[in-house]
Order: sequence, then C-alpha cells, then structure tokens
Amino acid sequence: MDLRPIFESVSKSIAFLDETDSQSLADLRAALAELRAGAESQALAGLITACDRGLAALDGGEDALAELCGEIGAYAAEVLEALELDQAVDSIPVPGAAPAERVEAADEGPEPELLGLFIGSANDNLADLEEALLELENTSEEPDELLAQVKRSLHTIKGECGVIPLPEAAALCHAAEDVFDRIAQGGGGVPIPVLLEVCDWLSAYCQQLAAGDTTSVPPHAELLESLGSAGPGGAPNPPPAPAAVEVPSSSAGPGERIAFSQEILEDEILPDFIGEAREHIEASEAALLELEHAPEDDELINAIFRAFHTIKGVAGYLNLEPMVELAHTAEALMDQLRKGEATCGKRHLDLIFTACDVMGALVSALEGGEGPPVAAHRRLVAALEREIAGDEPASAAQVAQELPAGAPGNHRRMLEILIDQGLMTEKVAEVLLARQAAMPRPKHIGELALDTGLVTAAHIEAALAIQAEEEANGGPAPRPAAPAPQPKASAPADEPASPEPQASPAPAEEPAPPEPQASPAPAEEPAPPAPAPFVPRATPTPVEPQAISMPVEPQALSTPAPPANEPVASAPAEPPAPAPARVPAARAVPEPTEPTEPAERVIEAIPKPQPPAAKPQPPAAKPTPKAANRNNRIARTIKVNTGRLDALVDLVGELVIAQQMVYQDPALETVASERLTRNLAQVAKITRDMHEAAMSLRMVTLKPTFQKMARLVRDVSLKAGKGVELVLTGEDTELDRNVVEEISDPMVHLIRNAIDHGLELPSERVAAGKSETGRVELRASHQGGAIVIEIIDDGRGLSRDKILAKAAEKGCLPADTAPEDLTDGQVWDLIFQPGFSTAASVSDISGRGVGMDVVRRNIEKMRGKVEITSQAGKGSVFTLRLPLTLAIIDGMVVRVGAQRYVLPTLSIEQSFRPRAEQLHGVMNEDEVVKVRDMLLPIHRLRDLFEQADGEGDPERGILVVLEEGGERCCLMVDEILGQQQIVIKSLGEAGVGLSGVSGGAILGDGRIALIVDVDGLVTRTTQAAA
Amino acid sequence: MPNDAPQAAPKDESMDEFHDEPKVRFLTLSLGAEHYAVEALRVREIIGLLDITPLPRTPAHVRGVVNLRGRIIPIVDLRMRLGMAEVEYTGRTCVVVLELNGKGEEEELVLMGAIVDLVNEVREVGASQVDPPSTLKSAERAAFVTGLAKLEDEGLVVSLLDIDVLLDPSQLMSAAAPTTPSDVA
Repeated sequence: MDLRPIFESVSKSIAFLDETDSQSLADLRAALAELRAGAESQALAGLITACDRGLAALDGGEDALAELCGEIGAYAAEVLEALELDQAVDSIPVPGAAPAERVEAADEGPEPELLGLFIGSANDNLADLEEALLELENTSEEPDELLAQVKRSLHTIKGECGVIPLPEAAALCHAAEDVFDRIAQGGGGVPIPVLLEVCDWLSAYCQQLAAGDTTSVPPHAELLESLGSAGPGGAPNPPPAPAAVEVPSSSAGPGERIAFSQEILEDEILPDFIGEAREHIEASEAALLELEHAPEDDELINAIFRAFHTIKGVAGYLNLEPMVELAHTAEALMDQLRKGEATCGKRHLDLIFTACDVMGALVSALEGGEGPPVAAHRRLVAALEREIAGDEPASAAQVAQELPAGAPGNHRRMLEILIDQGLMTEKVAEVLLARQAAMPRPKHIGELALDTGLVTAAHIEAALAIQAEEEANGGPAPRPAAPAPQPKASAPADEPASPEPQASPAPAEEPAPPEPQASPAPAEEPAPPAPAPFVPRATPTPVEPQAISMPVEPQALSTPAPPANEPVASAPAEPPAPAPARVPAARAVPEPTEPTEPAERVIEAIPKPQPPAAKPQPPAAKPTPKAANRNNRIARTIKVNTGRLDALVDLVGELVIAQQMVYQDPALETVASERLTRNLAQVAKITRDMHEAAMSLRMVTLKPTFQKMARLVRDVSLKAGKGVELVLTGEDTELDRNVVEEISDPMVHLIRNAIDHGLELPSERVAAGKSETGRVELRASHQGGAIVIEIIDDGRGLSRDKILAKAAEKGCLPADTAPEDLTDGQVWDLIFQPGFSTAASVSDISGRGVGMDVVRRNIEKMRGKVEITSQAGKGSVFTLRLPLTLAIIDGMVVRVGAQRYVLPTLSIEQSFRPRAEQLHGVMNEDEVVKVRDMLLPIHRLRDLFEQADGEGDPERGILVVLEEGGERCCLMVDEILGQQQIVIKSLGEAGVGLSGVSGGAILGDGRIALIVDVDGLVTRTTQAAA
Repeated sequence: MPNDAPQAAPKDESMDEFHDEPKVRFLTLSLGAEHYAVEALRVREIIGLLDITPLPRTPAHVRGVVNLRGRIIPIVDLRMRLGMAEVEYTGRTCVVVLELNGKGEEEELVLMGAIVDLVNEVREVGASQVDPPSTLKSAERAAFVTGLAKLEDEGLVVSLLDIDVLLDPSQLMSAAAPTTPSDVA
C-alpha cells in the first residue's frame, strides 16, 4: 500500500484545517483514519500512534489541534521519507506520544464519562461542604443540622469516589468521616481547619482530574495523618472491640443514612441525571440490537456494562434505590458476559432488554410519568440474580471463608446472606468487615451495610431473620439453589414499630401473606403479580407523598393501603396499581404525614417510630396541582457544551444583524405591501424573542461566586487576625455566565482589601466604639439594565490624606489641580493608579499595590464600572456596576460625516438641535450650551475622533446629552439615524489601547460602526475641563 | 515566537526532485517594486478591499476595521507599516488576511488584514535559498523579516516577512512606521 497519496491528502487536510468548520474537521478525520489504516498495513507503530493521537484530539476538540496536526503531518512526512530511503523509522520522535500514552493510561483508569459526572457533582458537594463548615464555625444555632450536612456531603463524595474509583480521595473522605464518628462518640469540637484542607485537597484533585490528569494524586498523606489525630480519641486505628449488637433496630447507633425524600427529587442534578439515564438506556438498547447479530462483540457488551454502571453510580448518589438495584444486577450480569464467564445468549439479551424497559419506566417515574409495576421490577431483579447466581454459585461461600477471622461469625453470615441476595458483592462485604474492624466502637455490620446504600433496612431485617432462623436450626442452612427471592419472601414479621400505624398494618416486610394488595380493592388494582410490593422496605421516613415521582417506599407501603381506609377506592381508574410512581400523589392515600423535620436529615438507620401524627386526609384535599407542578418542574434537560452555547448566542447575534439588514433595506421602501410589513415585523419579534431566549441560556446565579468569597473571607480574616462577619445578600441574582467568570478576580481583590486595609484591628475597633468583629457585606442586585455588586465594609474608610500623600510620592497627582481642591471621588480614583498602595506594610494578603488597577481594568473590559464611596471612620463601599450581558445593547446610531457611530441608549438623556441663544462661547475656545438651566460643555465627536469630514456648526448638527455616573456632557453629531439593538463585537486586538471606543457593531448594510465609550468620553472631557 | 516559521512548517518536497532539503511554501506579494512573502500556511484568505471603518486616534498604517463575515478584523496598510509612501488603492490592491499567534490569556488566533499592492504566487523556498536578515542595515527593519530568499529563476530577492512581529497588535497600535522610509513608490 502506497502511503504517499494518503499522506498528500492528510497534509492537504491539515493545511486547510479550519477548526470552526465541521466539514474541514471531517475531512481531516477521514484522511487521518485512512493514513492510520495504511500505517497499520505496514505495521508502522509510530505512525499509528500519531494518527490515533490526532484522531483523539479531533474527538476531544483539543485546543491546539492545528499545531498538533502540523506535528503529525511533519512526522508522517519524515516517516515516509525514511521509508522511501529504506531507513529506520523508529528513531523519529513520535509527536504527541506522551499524551497518547496518557490517553491509554486514562483508559485503564476511571471512565471519562463517569469522571465528568463525578467532578460535576463533587464540586457541588464540596461547595455545600465548605459552606456548611464555614457556617458551623460561625454559628452554634443548629450545629446538628450542619454537622449532618457536612457528614452527608462527605459521605456522598466518598461514595462517588468509590464508584469511580479514586481510592485516595475515598480514603481521605473516610478518614474525615471517622473524625465525625469520633466526635459523635467522644464529643469535642469539629476540627474545621483540617476539614477545610480536605475540601481544598479534594477540589484541587477534581481540578486536576478535570484537566485530564488521572494518573497522579496530590500528596495527601499528611492530611490523612492530621485527620487521624483530629477530634477526640485521636488514635487512628483503635483495636476493634467485640461487637455484640444483635438487633440493630432499636439499638441503632449514630449510623447515618441519607433518607430518601422530596429533597432528593428536588435535587438539582436530577434533571441532568434523567437526561443522562435516558441516553444510556437508548445507547444500551442500540447496543443490544447489534449484539443480537454479533453476540461476541466485547465492545458492545462493554458499552452496555458501562451504561448500567454509570446509571448505578449516579442513582446511588441520588439514593434511587430501585434503580441502583436494577442497574446493579444488570451490570453484574453484563460483567459476567464481559469477563467471558458466560456466553451471551438470547436469555441474556431478553433480560437486559427488559432491564432497559424497566429502567426507562423508572426514569419516567422520576419525571412524574408512569413507573414500572413493582412486581415486574422485583421479578426482573430476581431473574437477573438467578441468571448471575446460576453461573456463579460458589463465590459467596468462598468469600465467607476468606473473611477475616476476627469478625464475629454472625456478621459474616449476614453479609453472606446479603451477597446471596445479590445486594452486594464480595468486595463490598470485605470492605465492610475491614471497616468494622477498624472502628473504635464497631457498629453492627448491618448498619455499615446500610451506609453503603446498597441495601435497605428491610434487607437487613430479612437477613437477620434468616440468620436467626438458621441459628435456631443449629447453623447455617445449606445454600438454596436459587437463593434470590426466597429469603425476602420469608421475612418474618418481627418488625419494630412500624412507621405508619395504619398505612401498613403488617409492616412492609412480609409480602408473602396475601396482603391487601393481593386481594385489592377490586376496581383499583388489577391483579398485581405475585410476591411483593416493592422489595420490602421499612423505610423510616415517610416521604411526603405528593412530592414523589418515583416508586419509592412510601408508595409501596401506601398502595396496598388497608381497605379500611377506603378513600383509596374513591380514585379508581389507575390501572397499573402496584406502586405506580406518582400515582399516589393524585390518588390521595391516607397520608402518612411527614414529621416536619425534612426527610433529608440524617436519621437513625433503622426504623424509629414516627410520631403518631399520621392523619388521613380526605382525597379531595389532596393537592394534585402540586404534583402537576412538580412534573413540569422536572423538565428534561441535556448537558450542553458551553462552546456550543456560545456559538448559538453568537449565531443569534448574527441573526439579529441579518434581520435588521433586511428590515432596513432601502429596496423595501419601494414595496407597498402590508403583508410584507406585517411579516417583517413578525420576524423582528421572533428574532428578539429568540435572542432573549438564547441569552437566558447563559444566565447563572452569583451564588457559587459568593460562596467562594465566603471561604476567602474566612481565610483572610484568620490571617489578618480580624474577626469578620460576612453578610451575603442577593446571591440569587442572575447574570451572564461570561460576566460571572470575569468578576471573580476583581471581587477577590476588593474583599481582601476590605478586610486587610478597610477593617481595623479588633483593639482599634473597640477604641473607636465599634463592635470587635468587623462586618463585610456582599450585596448583589439588579438596577436597570445592570447588575450592581457592592462590597461594603464598616472599617476605617479611605484616608484622603494618606492617598494624597502617596499620590504625591508616586507623582500621579493631577498637575493642574491643587490636591485640596480635588473632590473625594477624584481622590478615591487615584487608588486605581497602577502600583498604588497606601498600606504601611506589605502583608501577604494585600498591599503590593497590584490590585486596584487590575480590578478596574477587568471591570472595564466588561463595560462595567467601579465606584467608591467612603466615609472616614464609617467604612467604604466599592460598587461594581456590570452589564447584564456582554453581547447586546440598545444603541442609537448617529452619523458624523461619512462615519456612523453607536451611542448606548442607556447613557443618553436627551438630544436636540440647539438654537443660537442656547449657545455660548467661552474665551473663544470652549463652547457651552444651556440645557434646562444647566450649562454643558459641547464636544464635537468629529474632533474627538479626529475626523476630517462632519458638521462643525452646532446649529446645523444635533446635540446629544450624555450622562454617566452623574457627569454630563454634550456630544455633537451630524444626524441621528435611528435606534436599534446592537450586537457588540469585540474589536479584538485592534481595540487594545483605543480610548473612547468600546467595541464595534455591524450595521444593517454590513459595515461597521464604532460604539462610543461614553464613560471614557465623559470622564475624559470632564477631566479635561477640570 | 518570531523566527520559528520556516522550521516548524510541514515539509513537502513532492515538487522538487533535485533538492532534498525541506521547503516551505510562501505567498509572494508586491509592494511597489519590492517583493515580499508571507508563509502560505498563515494566510487565511485573500479578499478585495472592503469598506473600511477608520479607527480614531490610531497610527496612519492602521487603516481601520472591516467586517469579515461577522467578525471584526483590523486592517493594516503593509506599505505604510514598512515605512513606504502611501499610494492610491487600485483594482489590484487586495487584503491578505493573516493568522497571527495570539498572546495573552485567550491565545486564540488573531486575524489581521494586510493591504498589499499585488499578490503574486505561492512559492516553495528551501533553507539554502535564504540569507539571514542581518544583511539589512536597519536592525529595526531586520526584525520584520525572517530572511531574504533568492529566487534564482527570476533573479529576484524576496523578503520573508515575520508577520508575528510586523503585525504584533500591541506594537501596531502604538508604534509609528520605521523612521527612515525607503521610498520606492
């Protein structure tokens, strides 16, 4: 195979590569693939690697694509040359070889998909964690709740780390959790600083992972150690005390478990998950269809395995147990196929197909649709378990033998039972036992199992029952041949106090006796298939039914509501009764009212009796609308690459321009068609709406930014030795994502300054009659078309004298004004000079004087403004005024000579043609105009922009009164052409250092008009006047 | 960033059997009687003169900005940038849109248009044909070129322009043209 022609086409594709053009990318891909095939045919490993690297870069949309492809092209050229000359090719360095290896390494490591998911949710959790820690430090009002939140966040992160797997991170979280366990048992304060370090470590790790480095782990040994010694009874590994907690139920220790609740269903990531789960299900189905024809295809099996694995991971995180259970068993089956422990047959395919269907129904239930019948779910899981067990009968027994001898036998047996039921793997069992052994006061193994979220209290109960029975019969019974469903079915009724007195007369445990739903209210439940309502779950938290959109415990309990409570029957016509997802909401089963303590709270692992508050409600009172709302609220979402989003917004911007081009086309004036006018107006309206919709896609709240600042305040205040109370207001204010990204740095500078320079030392504060603790407030709000963010401190305020002295020293005082004549505003303005700092000493927080000029530059880059107000002894307010969006403004198009300019409408106060008597010359040089008793200076835009053409006589031009920050001036233009929405285009590099111009706009005829930077102009003119 | 041009570019020798040295493609262009060239890979496209919107208070060689399919790009008069006299634009005057390596945080490609009198052809130039720019008297102007290529066939000497230096936006917007104009128009 001659590589030369292929190479030619590759190098051509590389030469014409346009990263924004999908066709060009596709060409390159095809060419590279061809080259790779050619290289393969000649066994050129290096070239294959290079091509792979290129293809991977194409897939990944890497930044330096062109560069990389250039390298690959050059490499290919050298290889070809060497080949043609019969030289060795091995010595030629392969471009991008290192990254390619990295990609391979990553393949062995965490799955990228899963990782992305993990990073996303881990960041959220970390934010929660940090917030809770900070609050914990400051307030003592609800420490329990906060502690619970901290633990929950930690636990969630740990769980996810385990799924990925990221053993180091999981170990760290685990150690942190242990600290809490020790606190719970031994009392004592929470070691906040260490935990914050854990947060930092985790977020650093996440960042690293996000950057694609999955191979290395930041150093954490020290942190682990300090965690080990933190808290009371700091010994890292106390010897395991013999555990003899036989019945976990009543004597449940502080075992924690995240309850399944409305909050979970309101979880922000749920919509994301729904979208993702659907994708995975669809992908699995597609793969299954292919698998029917190619049962040996490992890639397809892997794809399905991964799909279920991912679903399991996130579902586990969300505590969606039925999903976890199903995904887990399906995954386990696929795993067997994957490992070649079983050959893929029709039976398997059918099972997995059904799993997809049921999973799809579960997802629908999450969205508020119809869930799958409980029995179907149950049967399927059982069938899957049987399938798995049938091929692998001995494994659990083996585990039992391998388990550490130190663990009490009954614990081992318990896990065995659970393994038999397919609820956990041997690996998990081992981990649990190890964990138990490492605990200072070992909890019952059942609790630990609960902590994993793999099993429910009911499972444990059932297992305990079996165990008890076995013991009574003198030792473990021989393993049943088909172990799966039986144990559960034979669960005894020795349940502790059932959560809802009347809702489940016989605790949900025993499905075997033909319970209510086996002889159901006739109209209501069409023969629910045999054994069970949902896997019996004595869930301690009755979740508020109307909020449920998924078949979880409460429904399972309430569906077979005792016939005595007849309201059930009053809502017939719901055919698939056995626990259809959101049905209960509409159906108004006597409501086990939720004790108001929100279900999210950590609760005891094992059923604790609820306050007997359950009061039946008449069906009519059932707020169905709420359910409907909920269904609407969980809109399906998809994740979108921000690059695409920006591209869309740009395109809509183009559309706005194009629409205006058509609208303003002179040719239209000759057409007298009312219909056309109407249609054009319609197009204009749709375009506007579309633009709004597109912009709203990019709106995000300030909350994450504010939370970041909260952390900053804490750190800085510690360093500076000043107590600071931080007040956040308006953190839900939304603004353009691009703006949010840009304001973080300026805010950091300002807050640091506020604490370090603004706030006095505690002693000084007391001396000044203020509270010892300083106060810093972050306040965000909408004002007109702008976002205003204020950073307010109650410190000493800016010192006029110090600033003036410093300015004199630096030589940046305005030459033409005596310092004492400067207004406060002008003095404050001085601190934005580069290199300006009045701090007496340079601390490591601030004071190097590199802050304020950067702050101003960053803010102005976004067409925003920084304003300062300050009062000596009372404090200062730094106000950041930012545009809502960076992309579009309302503008007035004006003409000067042959050029057109855009004035932002927001800055325009009025425009008029002056009469001679309004105009006054001053000293033959300056001109002022009298407008409503104000004398305003006149500036000709013509002169400001050094334009040769344009009107010079104010009486023949138009004066536009501009206002900016309280200052006014008159700008003279030749003519006002009209008002329109202006898509702001950056002048890019051309705009660097350009004063008086803030950007460019493409007008209806395709030509560019410059957007006048009113602020710069007004400031400049007023300064010149001063 | 300067001076990496000839070495880094893909090598292609399919055209010339006799020289086995690596060659780089250049787009040659004319300014008055002088010949210049820019690396062909850096040329995004060649367009006719569009309506140029002047930018206020910029050096004379910055002619303004144009709308290139929705993107605003600055336009530089290459003659004036090189210190030559300004001439009337003709029908053959065109704009070569070049890709500059961006600096700063964004690092995206910067597009910039250069007005030239005439665009000639794409030539391959091997390293052996190129003399270093040190032969030039003015160091200031020497910085603008990566070398002087001798094209034996035509008996021409072509200055290979280093566009990253010549059109460096930060320099461009502030700097005046070289002080000693070599008037060749």
